[in-house]
Amino acid sequence: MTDEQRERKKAYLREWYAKNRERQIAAVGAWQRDNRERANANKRAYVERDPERRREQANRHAAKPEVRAKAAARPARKEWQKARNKRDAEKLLDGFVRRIMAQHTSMKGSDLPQGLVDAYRELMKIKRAINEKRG
Amino acid sequence: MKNVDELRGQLADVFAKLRAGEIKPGEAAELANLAGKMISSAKVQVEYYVLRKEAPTIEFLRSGDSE
Repeated sequence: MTDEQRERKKAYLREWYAKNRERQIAAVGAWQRDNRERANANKRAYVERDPERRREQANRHAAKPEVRAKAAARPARKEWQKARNKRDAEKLLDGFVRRIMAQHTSMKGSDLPQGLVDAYRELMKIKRAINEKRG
Repeated sequence: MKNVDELRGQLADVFAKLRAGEIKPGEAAELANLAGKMISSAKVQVEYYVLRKEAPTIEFLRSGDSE
């Protein structure tokens, strides 16, 4: 294929996509809904393949004015998240303990085995009780 | 103390005794410090295997139920 042919093909595909964009997106969405397991596996594989690119995409999306406006219009969500974090910390729920354990490491909280998390929770309880007693 | 389940049991015991006033906060702090070291060392081991993308069985983390 010559360079000229390649360019012509690219232009044709661009034109075709512009015409059929909505239909394509709807078809992919429908497939993802019908094949949830495989779609989720594909998404996970994509994130694992290139986490940096995924992060950049997410940041670009979050920086869009319409997305920021939408988030700002829901201050209750922030409050709800604050309350949830407080509850998790008070009750030493799994997510909180895992997050604390994974801090300053290259691991995610989900990488930690449950037994270790449970032991660390007990340790946190003791430390809190000691602080309480000492005042 | 052979595994993490036993460690958790011991810690729960220390917590109960501390609450009941059977041991002093200083003593509990020493035990907590030691347990913290054990947990940290197991955590480093887990992190090492995560980085190497390996999943071997770590004896200390094997629970009694899974045996």
